[in-house]
Amino acid sequence: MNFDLGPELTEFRLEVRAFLEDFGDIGAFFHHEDDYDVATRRLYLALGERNWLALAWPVEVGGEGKHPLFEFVLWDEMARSRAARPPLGSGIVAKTIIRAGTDEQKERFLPGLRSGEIFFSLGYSEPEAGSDLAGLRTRAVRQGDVYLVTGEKRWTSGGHRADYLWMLCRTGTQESRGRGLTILIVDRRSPGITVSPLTALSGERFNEVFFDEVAVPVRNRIGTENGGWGLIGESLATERHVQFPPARVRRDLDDLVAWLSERGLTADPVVRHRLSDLAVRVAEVEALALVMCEAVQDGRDAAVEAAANKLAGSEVAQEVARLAGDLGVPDSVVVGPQIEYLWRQSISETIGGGTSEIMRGLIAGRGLDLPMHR
Amino acid sequence: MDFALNSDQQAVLEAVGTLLSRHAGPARLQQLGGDEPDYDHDLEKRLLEAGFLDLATTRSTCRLDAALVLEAVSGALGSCAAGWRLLVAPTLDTDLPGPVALVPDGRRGPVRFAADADAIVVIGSPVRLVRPDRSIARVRSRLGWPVGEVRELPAGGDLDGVDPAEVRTWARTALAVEMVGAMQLALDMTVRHVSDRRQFDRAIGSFQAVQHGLAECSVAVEGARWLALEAAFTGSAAAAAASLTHAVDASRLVFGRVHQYHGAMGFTREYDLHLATMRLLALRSEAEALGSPAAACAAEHWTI
Repeated sequence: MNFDLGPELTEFRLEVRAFLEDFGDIGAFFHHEDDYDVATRRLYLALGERNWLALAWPVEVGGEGKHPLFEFVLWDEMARSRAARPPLGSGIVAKTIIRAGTDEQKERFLPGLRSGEIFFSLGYSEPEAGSDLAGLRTRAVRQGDVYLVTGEKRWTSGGHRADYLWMLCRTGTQESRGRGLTILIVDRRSPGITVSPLTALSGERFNEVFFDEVAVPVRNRIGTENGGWGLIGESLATERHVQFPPARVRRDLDDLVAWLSERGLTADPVVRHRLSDLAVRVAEVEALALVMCEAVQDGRDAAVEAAANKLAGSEVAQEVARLAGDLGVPDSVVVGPQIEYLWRQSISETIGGGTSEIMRGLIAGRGLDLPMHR
Repeated sequence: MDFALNSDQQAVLEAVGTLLSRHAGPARLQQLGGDEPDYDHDLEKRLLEAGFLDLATTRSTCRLDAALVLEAVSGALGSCAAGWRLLVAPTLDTDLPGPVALVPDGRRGPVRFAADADAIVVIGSPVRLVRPDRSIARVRSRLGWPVGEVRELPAGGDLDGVDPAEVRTWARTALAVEMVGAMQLALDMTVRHVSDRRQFDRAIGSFQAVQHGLAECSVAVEGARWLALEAAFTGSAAAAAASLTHAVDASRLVFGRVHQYHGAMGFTREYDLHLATMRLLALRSEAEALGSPAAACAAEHWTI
C-alpha cells in the first residue's frame, strides 16, 4: 500500500501551481459573471497553449497521452487556487467525439477544444427531467439532412455564452426512455433558439433554453441515432476523477480558519472543537479522493468510489460554509466576505452534477449490492 | 393541559390570517425587494390598527396569544418588527409606536430593522432606549429582512425598572417563534414540491429517503413550536433558552433538507423558497448575538 501519487504527478502538481500564480482567485471557479469573459478565456487559452486541456487525450488526436490522474492533479490545483472548473468541451465533449465521432467531426471540433477557443454548454437537464434524465422530452425529428429540435432545456450553465450546446435529444418514443436518445451538437446561434436567464442564489447565471424547430445538420450527430444514452454513460466514466476536486474543501477550510482567526475567534474552545471536526471531515474527503484515484489509476470503473468522493466532498463543502453562520459571526451574513458567498454557493453542490440522493442510491445499489426497489 | 386553540384564539388567527393573506406572503416580500426587502410600514400599520400587535400590553398578561400571531406573521414573511411589539414590548411598559430594533449591548454589525427603526432598545444593564440619528445605513444581505449596520450608538436614556434578563428572555422567545413560522413555511413548500414533482414515473415524495428526511424535519419543527409556545405561556427564562436552542438546531436540519429536496429550483432567486430559508440564518445570527442560547440553557438548569 502506498498513499503517494508518485514523483511524476507530484512534479506536475508543482508545475501547475507555478503556472497558476498568474491566475488565482479570478472568481471563475464559481462562475462569477463579471470575471468570466475576460479572465476565464485568458486562462483557458493559456491552458490551451500548454496543451493542458488535452492532457489525457490520445497523442494521435493532438493530446498529451497522459494518464487521467494528470487531469485530476490539474483540476485539483485549479480548485485550490479557485481558478476554474474543468470545461465541458475538453472533457465530456472531446472525449466522446474522440471515441465515437467521425473523422470530419474530430477535425471540426477537436482543435478549438484543445486550444481553449470554443465553448460548449451541457444540454441534458429539462424542467421535467433532472435526476431522471432518461425521461427527457426535447424532441429531434429527422427531416432529410437535418434534425428539427423542439423543446426546452434548463439549468444550462453558460448557455448564454457558449458557442455550442451538447444536447441529449429524444429521437425514439417517450416510452423508450434511454434507448431513444441521441446526442446532437447544436450551434447556439441557430435560428429558433431563445435563451433566458435563471439566477442562482450565488449569483451564477443558469439558463432556460427554448428550441423551436431548430435545424441541426445530421453531420452534427455524435454516434448513432438512439445511441446517446450509452455514450453519455461512458463519457461520465471518463470525467469522474475531475468531478469534485478535494482541494476545493481544503481551500474552503483554510479560508474559514483564516477568516475566523482575523476576527480573534479561533481561541474559543467551542470554535476550535467545531473546526477540528471539520478538519477531520476534510481529511476524509481527501482520503476518499485518493481511493477514487487509485481505482482510476488501475483502470477500474470507479463509479462507486467517485460517488463517495462527490457525496462526501459536497456535503463537507456545505458544512464548512455553514460554520461561520452557525457560530453567529455577525458579518458572516452580510454580502461581501467570501465566507458569506460560500454559504450561498454551496447549497448547489449537493444538487448539481448528480444529487446526494442519486449518489447514495448508487453507493447502495452498486457498492453494497442492495436490491433495487422500483 | 389542552393543546387545542380556544375559540378566541381561533377567531384571532382566522382574522390575522385573512389580513396576512392580503397584505403579506412571498409575493408581497418579492414586491418589497425579495431577499433585500424594505420595511413593510403598510403591513405594520394594518396589524396595529386591527389590534393584532397589542394582544399583550402589560408585563403580567399571558403572551401565548401574541406568540400565535407572531408565528402567523413570520409564516407569511411579514417584513416588520412584529416580534418586538408582540412579545418584548410588554416587558418595557413603554409605548413606542414605530419600528423598533433590539440590539444587545456592544453588538456591532448587521441588525434587523436598525436602518428603519425610530427607536433602538439596547439590551444591557441597564436597558437603554436610543433614538438613532438617521445615519444607520442599510446592509447588503440576502437575508429576506431589512438589515442595518450598527456601529457606534448614542448613549440614549436608561429605562429604569426594566430587567435586562427579562428582555433577553422575551427576545429569545420571539426569535424561536419567528423561526418556527419560517421553518413551517419552508417545510410546507417542500411537502408540496415533492408531492408534485415527478421523476422516475413517481412523485419524489414517494421515495422513502425523502419521506424520512421530511418526517424528521416535521418532528423538529413541531418540537420547536411547542417549546416556543410553552416559553411564551410561562415566560420562563429556562423555557425561552431551551426553545431557542432547539429552534436553532432544527433550522440547520430544515435548511439543508428543504433545499436538497427542491433540487435546482430551490436555489434560484426566482423561486420563493430562499425567502423563508435565508431568514433563518438572520434569526440564528441574532440568537447568538443575545448570548449563546445553549449556554443560557445550561446556566438556567445547573449552577456550576
